[in-house]
Amino acid sequence: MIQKKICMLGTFAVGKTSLVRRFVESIYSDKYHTTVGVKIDKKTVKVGNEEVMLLLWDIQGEEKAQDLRKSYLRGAAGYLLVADGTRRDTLYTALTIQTRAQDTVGAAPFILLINKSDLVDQWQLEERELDALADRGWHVIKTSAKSGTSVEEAFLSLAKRMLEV
Amino acid sequence: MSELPTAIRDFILTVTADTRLPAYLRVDGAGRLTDWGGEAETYGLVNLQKGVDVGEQVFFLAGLLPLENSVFLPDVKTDSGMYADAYLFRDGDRKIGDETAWVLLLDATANASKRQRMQQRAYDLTFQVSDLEREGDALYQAKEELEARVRERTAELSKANEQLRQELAERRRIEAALRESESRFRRLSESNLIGIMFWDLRGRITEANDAFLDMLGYTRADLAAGKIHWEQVTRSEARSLDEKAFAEMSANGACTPFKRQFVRKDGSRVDLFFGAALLEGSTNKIVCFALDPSKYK
Repeated sequence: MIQKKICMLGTFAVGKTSLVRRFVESIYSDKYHTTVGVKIDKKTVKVGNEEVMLLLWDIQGEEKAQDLRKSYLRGAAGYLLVADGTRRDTLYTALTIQTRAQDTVGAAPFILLINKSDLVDQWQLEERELDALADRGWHVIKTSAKSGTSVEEAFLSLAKRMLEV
Repeated sequence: MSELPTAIRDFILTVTADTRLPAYLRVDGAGRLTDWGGEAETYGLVNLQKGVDVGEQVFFLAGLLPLENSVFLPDVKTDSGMYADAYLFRDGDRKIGDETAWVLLLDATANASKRQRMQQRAYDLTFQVSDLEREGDALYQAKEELEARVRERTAELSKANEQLRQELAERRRIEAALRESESRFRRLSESNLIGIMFWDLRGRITEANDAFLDMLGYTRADLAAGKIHWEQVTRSEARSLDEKAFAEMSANGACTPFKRQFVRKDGSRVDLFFGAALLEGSTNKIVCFALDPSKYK
């Protein structure tokens, strides 16, 4: 079976672990538990007629993008950049992380997830900021690990793009 | 390490081996597992099979082999729940794709747990600070709104105060004018140059000066006792003149002075030159003056 390594990237408390738990175990907890190091989960999905085992590297969120350890990215076939819609600065950290990730894994496919869409009334990010990224060719999906909105779509969309490479 | 004496190097190795639960995997150039040992089971590395791709058995190694350089993966959470520092390095100087790779795992659980607690505390504090900042912002905004409302209310009160001040000044002016008017009228009344009296449409004479009382032969005591009534001082022949005068007062506020005969207290008659006007703002209170023409012959 094909295996594809996906890295979850983003600053702390944007919901990387919650997204993985929602996708793999279909559960969500409101309590925040910081991730140390890296935790690897796996889930088999079907993309077209092909079964793919996704290896999900839930990497600890660093406050500063330059603290991201590149060795964790080695061998990644794609990555999900995660930002928190209620904290504008998390988007700009994600942009810096993307540059750093590209240095390590090249032009691997990635998707920007703006998480916490269930709290859209508290969002600091504006639509025009996301539109500007979309204009640059970025794939942006609004997700909610809490409600599950677009979580499956995000992982499957990345899996499909990884297989197309 | 080369600078360290052999005894020290050996001791470090012994301490590391004793305290950090080392486990190892050996992988051939094709990525197949060829050997393993040490504390592999401690990290959940069980049911391993030689000759099978290591990435399919130890998932965190997928995509990492073959090695170009050594790789260090700190704090990898293993299937057993323990954290391990993973070191991947090549064996010897063989060409890429044709060498043996080693994977060394050393226990990092204690450090990772300690860091997890510290990191959790730090992030919790960060969120608390953010919450406090948000609350501070909300309080500042509420304070601004409150101050704006106070300014608005103060302006309204100031405007109302100014209006009240103007009304009081106007009222004082009117009262002063009224007092002056009353003073002039009182002076006229008390001079007794003409007879002056007040009565209402029920016929009650409520006030009169001495000149008027003298003209009709009444005393101030009679007036105080309510003994003077319009009917008493009016001849029946004069009523038609009175009705005409009332009609004129209703229309114009005052009637044209006319000669009218009054009945004195002793029953005698006296002709007086008489005029009347409704008091300002009233429909039933009348002020009258009377002149005795005989006094001016």
